[in-house]
Amino acid sequence: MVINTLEEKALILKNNTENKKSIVLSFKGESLNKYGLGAKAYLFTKNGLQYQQLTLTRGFQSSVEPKLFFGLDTLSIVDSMLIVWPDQTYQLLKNLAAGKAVELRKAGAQDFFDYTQWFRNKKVFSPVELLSGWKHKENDFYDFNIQYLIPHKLSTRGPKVAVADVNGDGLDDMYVCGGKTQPGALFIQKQDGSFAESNKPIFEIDAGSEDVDAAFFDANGDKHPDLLVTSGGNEVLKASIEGADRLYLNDGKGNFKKSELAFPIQYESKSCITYADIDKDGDNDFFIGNLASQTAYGQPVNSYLYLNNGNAKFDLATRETIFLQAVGMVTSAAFADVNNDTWPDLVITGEWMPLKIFINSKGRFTETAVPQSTGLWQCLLPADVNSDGFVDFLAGNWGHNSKLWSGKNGPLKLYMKDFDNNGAVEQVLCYTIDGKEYTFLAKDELERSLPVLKKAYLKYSEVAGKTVQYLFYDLFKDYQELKAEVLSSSCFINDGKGNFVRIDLPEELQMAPLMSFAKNEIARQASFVAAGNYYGVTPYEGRYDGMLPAAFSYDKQKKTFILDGIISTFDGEARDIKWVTQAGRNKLMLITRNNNTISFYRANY
Amino acid sequence: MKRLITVATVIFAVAGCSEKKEYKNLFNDPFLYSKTVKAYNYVVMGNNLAPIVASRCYTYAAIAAYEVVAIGDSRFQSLAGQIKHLPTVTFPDTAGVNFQFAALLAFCKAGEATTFPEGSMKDQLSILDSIAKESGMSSEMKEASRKLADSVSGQIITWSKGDNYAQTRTAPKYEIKTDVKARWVPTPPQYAQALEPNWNKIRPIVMDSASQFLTPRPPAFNLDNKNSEFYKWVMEVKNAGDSLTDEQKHIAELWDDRGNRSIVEGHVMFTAKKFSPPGHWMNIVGIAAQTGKADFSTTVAAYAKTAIAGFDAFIQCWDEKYRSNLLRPETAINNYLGYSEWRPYLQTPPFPEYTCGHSTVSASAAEALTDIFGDNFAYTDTSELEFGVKNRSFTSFRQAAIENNWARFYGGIHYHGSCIVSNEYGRKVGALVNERLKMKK
Repeated sequence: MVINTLEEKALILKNNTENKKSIVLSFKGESLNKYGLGAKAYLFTKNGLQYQQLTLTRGFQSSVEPKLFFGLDTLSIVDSMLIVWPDQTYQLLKNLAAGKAVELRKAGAQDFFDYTQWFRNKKVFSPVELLSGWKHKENDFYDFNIQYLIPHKLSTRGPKVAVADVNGDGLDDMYVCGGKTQPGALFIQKQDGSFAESNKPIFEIDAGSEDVDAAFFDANGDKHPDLLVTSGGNEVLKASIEGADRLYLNDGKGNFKKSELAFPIQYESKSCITYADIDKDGDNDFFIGNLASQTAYGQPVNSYLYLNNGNAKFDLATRETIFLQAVGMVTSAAFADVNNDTWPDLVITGEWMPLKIFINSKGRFTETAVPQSTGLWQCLLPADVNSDGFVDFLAGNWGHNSKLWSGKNGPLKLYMKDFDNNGAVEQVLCYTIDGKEYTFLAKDELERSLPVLKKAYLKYSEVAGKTVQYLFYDLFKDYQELKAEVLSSSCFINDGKGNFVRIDLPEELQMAPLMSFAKNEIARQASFVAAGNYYGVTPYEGRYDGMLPAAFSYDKQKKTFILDGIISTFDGEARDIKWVTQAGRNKLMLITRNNNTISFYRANY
Repeated sequence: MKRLITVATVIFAVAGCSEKKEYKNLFNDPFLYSKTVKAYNYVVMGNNLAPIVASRCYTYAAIAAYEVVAIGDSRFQSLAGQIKHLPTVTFPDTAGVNFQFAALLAFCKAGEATTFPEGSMKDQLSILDSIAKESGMSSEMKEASRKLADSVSGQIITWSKGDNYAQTRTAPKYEIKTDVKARWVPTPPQYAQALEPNWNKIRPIVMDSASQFLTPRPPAFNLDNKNSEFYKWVMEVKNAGDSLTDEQKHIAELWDDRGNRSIVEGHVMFTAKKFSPPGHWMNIVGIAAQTGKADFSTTVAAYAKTAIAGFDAFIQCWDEKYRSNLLRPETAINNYLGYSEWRPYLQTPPFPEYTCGHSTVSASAAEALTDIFGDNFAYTDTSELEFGVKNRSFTSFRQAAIENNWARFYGGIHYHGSCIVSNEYGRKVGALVNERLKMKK
């Protein structure tokens, strides 16, 4: 191998491997693409599939010879080789001898390559034609314009959807959360499976609110599902009313009426709702998770537990009942009986938070946390994945396909302080390699809000390869420190004795932030569906758009998760997965997408 | 920087063979002050500061020096009170102080507070210290002068911190909305973020508020109607840019003053630095002081007044820029007239077009200088020679300011109509500075 270097001597590297075979492909393209750039080569041998795509760029100002080199170990024959050209024409070659140079000509390619025909996935779900034209509308708001240094947006987490049969006709109906300036919408399912919007004027009044979560549950004891909607968004509210949570009572026929003054509202940037009868007094109580301060990302905020007096009037639980002061940046919560004592315990998590478990002992909660479980958690689903009688927790995290994870071997950290004493908190995101911490953002990005950093070091060269402690010199003290030790989307397996063992979900579900889980309601054994993606990050971090929704299940023998299949046609930022029951008890799965329509799927079982 | 050190060496040589007490003459030299400002000019340029941020650097440093002069020279009076929010400047016993030396030190100290890294003026300070030592200034005098400089510059720095600069570092950024055609968007080749969208929150020195002089609205965005005012504005820029004479190019280059022009050659991208518009005018003050044979105190006063005029002019202009958020000629020509490859002769700076910062500052600075040196004051501008641009001669500061209007227009980065408004409003700001600040008793 010959390597030319800039302003240095050229290098020649001798290949010392012995008795190994290879095959070298060169391409003769057409027209201006004479080297066939972009051509894909799939090699099928006894040892499996090998794949490369022809691209010459190898980094800044660096390039290689326009050939593809495949190592075949000791194999002397390639069973077949599939070449797909950039215009999707293809050719198939069989029984190629190793050691020979093969020239492939575009002129010899033909037809149109259909990936779905050639590489068949186990198709567990098929898309269903749009059953509702409703489209979520995200408003134009760029969180980084207000808080320059936050790691990602918090304003694009919607839409969530709540499902229940609100009119008692046996068909599931749904409420989809609206973005800011977009009203939420209640859809009543018709016999033909389509959805018709209902109770429109009631929801239009609150169009100014950004709905962040919704839940149907019986609030007033009349056995009909009522609707609770919580508001949020990362924009500093122009009017506090935009942050209001709303309880709508159902007359049993699907007609809703807003119940004013049902509970003390917190006008903040909230994230989630979960409910249960926590004190066994026969009515539903609810928890509202609070996400973040709209001006000081990272600062742990209070969440709220509301207790029902039986008539759909709710009071905030006292500190003695549950202590939720500065509990964290909550993204997700669930009531589940962790210790099988029949009292619903509360499990909550969020960004820079561990998995926190509030054990319910006859209506009073005691906080515990799973050790070493801090992460950028996005969603939570209680489920007994291993069928051992104890509830486990599926938890969605930021994933592995990220600069924040790849190549790092210590916790991700967030340091918070008003470093320059100008009245605004700055966040400094750091990653750890071999115990040393480095800022994620470059010097110039940090200096945009912290010009004071230039007082010590003016030039990049002075801080290249240096730690955050060095870069911030004597300013680096009296800060608030948050950490994320785990970025893997995970499952916490409950041993029933108060201990949890964390295991990673399959790599296919680590491709992007995982935003929602659902049980696979069609599968015979315990199986689950997950989806995600997140575009609201800085270009430097790079948007996460590569994860496809997937079904997966737990293999009890191997004690690991296996993938059952993916939805290869999916595109967008998944936010919520729910199942709806249709006529004839058919089940339909829906996935909501940020700033997009809802996708519907039918299971192929 | 090299050149400055060479000059300093010559001074040492002269100082070395002269009598003691030579320091009196050496420090009572307006040219030494100009050289110190110039040294600061290089620091500001090296810091890559935005022109408006640069204007803030010059202003506080120049005021600190001036306040020392006002203590030491009975012909001049303090700006405290004249600048409403500047509290009375107190000072220690001035017995045994050399006021010129103290003024120079105060300039450097206050200048360091707004620039980077810590001790950014240490080279110039050590030159000044060497001159004092070599020319026989007693250590007592040095100490007394230093004490006065530290006291005055300290008070100016404290006062400067109330101007909202720190707060605006984390104020909301400019929002890009591509669906509004008339709205400014980032421009080639850097596509840099909009600079300082909150500069109207900076406390002005003499103006009562950023919006005291409210400019008329720019013409409505309309490129469909060829008779519209806005269409004419845009086409004037394009037509002029397509047929620039050498003289017009020279005018544009003289007033380019792009602090950091990015140059893209293939994969390589680097930045060429020049003094900013306020830096250029600081240089013109030096030229004027030398041409007009101004004494030390008058020179210091001239720098201070011109810097203040520039500072408030920028606030007035930036207030309007982010009110009208008007797109640049380059964007209008590229996106809406179909000439997608058209480029202006100068590089478009990263903020909205209306009004023109350089024209506003130039007009305001010209008013301040006219107040000090008089109208019809002929001079030759040599500022840009070191950046490879030939000198140009002017019959007055106001003529120079008017030429600036054409410079920005020939440069293809401003509509001429906008420059005319800018000049008019810059003059208003400068006139207010002259009216409110009486430096000579």
